[in-house]
Amino acid sequence: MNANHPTKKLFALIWIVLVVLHFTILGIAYYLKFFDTQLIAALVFIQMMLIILFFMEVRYTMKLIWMFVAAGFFWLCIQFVLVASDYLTRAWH
Amino acid sequence: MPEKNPIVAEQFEDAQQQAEAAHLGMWTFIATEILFFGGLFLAYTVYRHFYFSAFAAASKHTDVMFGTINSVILLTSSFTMALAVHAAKENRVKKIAPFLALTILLGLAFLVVKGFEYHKDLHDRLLPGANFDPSLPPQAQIFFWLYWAMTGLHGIHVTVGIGILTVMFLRARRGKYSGSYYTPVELTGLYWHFVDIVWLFLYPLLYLVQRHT
Repeated sequence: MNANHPTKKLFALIWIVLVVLHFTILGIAYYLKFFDTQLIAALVFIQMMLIILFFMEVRYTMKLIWMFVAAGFFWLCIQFVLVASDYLTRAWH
Repeated sequence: MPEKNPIVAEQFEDAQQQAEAAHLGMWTFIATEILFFGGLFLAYTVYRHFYFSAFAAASKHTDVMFGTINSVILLTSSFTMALAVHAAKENRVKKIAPFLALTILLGLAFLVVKGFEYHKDLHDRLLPGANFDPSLPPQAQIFFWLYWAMTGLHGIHVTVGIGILTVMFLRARRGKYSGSYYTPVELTGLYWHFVDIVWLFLYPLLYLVQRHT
């Protein structure tokens, strides 16, 4: 494993950013009428990446772990794409 | 014969190799968990696509205050968990158990808030079935089936996490972990952060659909 790891200050900063993003998401949901879903999805994605990279310390770990993390999401994408290609292209109603 | 480190199992060359193998194993488990929850997220996506107005109407019946409080609780618990791992890495042995205890308390707080929320949901007749709120469209029952299934499964994961954290806490108090050996604390942290991430996705999908209308 890599000997580097984040500092307590960085953890605190990440936590503050996560909470701020959380209330931003709440505000968007109540006050933004257009592109709210897309914007909320983008902000949740940023929250997820912050947790994975810093709290889970993937940024500081070996590349093989990066591949395993990516593989998890890649299989999820396959699951969504295959099912969506069926449900969204047939007249189910 | 060279003396072997007692914390290293015999199939490993050294502690680093053992830690790397453990991390890979944990990430493989998390990848399967992504697919496990992925099936439910997929079902949610398909039904939301077909019955968007019913999902929006149903989502407005969830209690956003409970959801928001629980989100902040879980984000904070991830922070304290990260600090527990950090303390172990820095060999500040006495700090590991208190940070784990804080994480456990925040996990319990999450479950208590969720319990109050479930109680309110039952009172508001939001459990799918014969007693379901008749003012909601029929497809809202699909939303609430997913709501109970997803938050229930997530709650089970939180409960399991609290159990593992409690074992880590007791072992940390006995001085089992230090700067030279803390892999179990790290792996518990990975699991706990994953549970937090799942909630971050559940929150907007269940509580924030079309809130502006």
